Amino acid sequence: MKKLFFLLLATGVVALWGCNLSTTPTSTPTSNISQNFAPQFIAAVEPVDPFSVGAARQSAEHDQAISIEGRIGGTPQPFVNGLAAFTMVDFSIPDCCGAECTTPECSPAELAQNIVTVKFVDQNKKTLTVDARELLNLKEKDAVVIDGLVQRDQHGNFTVLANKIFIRPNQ
Amino acid sequence: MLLPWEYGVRNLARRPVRTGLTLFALATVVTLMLVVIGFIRGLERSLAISGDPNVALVFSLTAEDNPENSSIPANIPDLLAATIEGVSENFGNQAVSAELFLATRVTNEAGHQGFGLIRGVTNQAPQVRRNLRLVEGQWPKAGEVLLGRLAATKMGQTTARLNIGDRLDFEGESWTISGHFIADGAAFESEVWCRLEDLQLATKRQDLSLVALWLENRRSLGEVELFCKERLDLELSAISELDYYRGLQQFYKPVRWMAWTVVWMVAGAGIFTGLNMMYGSVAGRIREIATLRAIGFRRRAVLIGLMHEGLLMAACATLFAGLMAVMFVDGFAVKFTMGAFRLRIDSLALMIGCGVGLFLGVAGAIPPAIKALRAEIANGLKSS
Repeated sequence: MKKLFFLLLATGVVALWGCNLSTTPTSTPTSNISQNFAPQFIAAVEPVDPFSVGAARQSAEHDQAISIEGRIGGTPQPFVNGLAAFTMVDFSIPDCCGAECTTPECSPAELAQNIVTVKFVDQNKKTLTVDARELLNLKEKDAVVIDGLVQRDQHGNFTVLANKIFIRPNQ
Repeated sequence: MLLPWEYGVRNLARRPVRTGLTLFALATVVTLMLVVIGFIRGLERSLAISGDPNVALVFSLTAEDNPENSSIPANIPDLLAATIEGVSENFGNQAVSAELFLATRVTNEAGHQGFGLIRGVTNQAPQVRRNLRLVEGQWPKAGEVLLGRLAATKMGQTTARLNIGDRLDFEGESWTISGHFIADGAAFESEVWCRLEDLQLATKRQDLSLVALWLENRRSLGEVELFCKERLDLELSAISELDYYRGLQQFYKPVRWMAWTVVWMVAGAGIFTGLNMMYGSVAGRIREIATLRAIGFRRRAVLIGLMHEGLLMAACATLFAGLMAVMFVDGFAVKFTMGAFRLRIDSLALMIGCGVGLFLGVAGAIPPAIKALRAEIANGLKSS
């Protein structure tokens, strides 16, 4: 009698477990694209002969229209929360800089010469109030080419008011 | 048929020493658990309440979110006030608080030394730190300091020795206590506040540790972050105060895990104590149990009767431990690396403590009772 009881109990547990597994909602493939995604800022074709970040910092003039290639990163949090802005570094900077590694290329002096702040703005040059990760479907370490206007100040800071971005496919 | 309720109650009174000892052991276990849970809950509350979602902190980029390591130019507050839209404003004063923060050795009039957290602030500070309440005395003037409610604990001193008008020595200067403040249990309560310019003068520093801004909306926090990313020459970093304290919560996660481990270890020790006590108790009652079965009570009824006794004892012990914890442990200030905080015996702590206490009573009674009930009635009746 006892054996029968335990057999029934064990069967019940297994059956319930099985039912539970079968009723667990399976993840349906969903799109990663946010509803704030704005395709008008995405360039269909990659701009030709873009400047590297380092070269652009050395030679570009204030208000010059320019194309710059680089990788999103350079700081522990390259994206600005809630605004369409981020930092981008030269490809010569290892992609671990700003996070865990401390190679010479990650030194603050080296980084300062190879980093640029990119922001997408409206007609009044106000930064768009949508996070760049949602607006442009970007993520950290993406290789991108941006088109925009250079903004320099007397302190050596370098910002690009971007109007288009080309996101290189992952290699 | 079950054993009458009075049977279990009277049984406890029949062996007062054994019952008293068991009560004491169970109460000690539950009290220890409540103290550790109170520590965890106090730490969690202190960190949770400290972050204001509307406050942005601007540090030096190299400070790694530690204000003690941060050094930023003195003109940053003005730059931020002029650049960032959405900084709260009252009667023409923007809610931008320039602060110099350091941990240093503090000596009281009696010569007692301890480490204190000192924050040099301007008159704008209360506009940003909005949970600050001056409960005694006045805002500090030149050469004066304002003490948080837990500042004395942080410095390892008793509040009785730190009254208004008393003097404290730090950074080569002598300071007079002008008042006391509270901040709803936030981390500031373990700090000593003084005028920014006085602290800069005493430390021979012209820089600041951080700037705190009270922002009207979350968008403005993005603007502060963007300002720091655009002005790379200033080497600044911005973080919301809420995220800063969330980071601290993550930092102290191993401590909390360790404390929870202690709770369960104490509970485990309590179960063994209870088992030991109940084994002893039941072992001396084998003849009584056999008699009960001989006169017709079933095994189940005797088992429930023994569990009833264990539960009754555990309930008394838990009640006593809970009262002790609420009266003497709740609100007790303890020193910690980040400052000081108060132990907190809240509803969750009481629920866990009482739950485990009652469980100890029931679980502790079952194994010895089963052992006793397995014995043959005839053998039980013959036992001495």
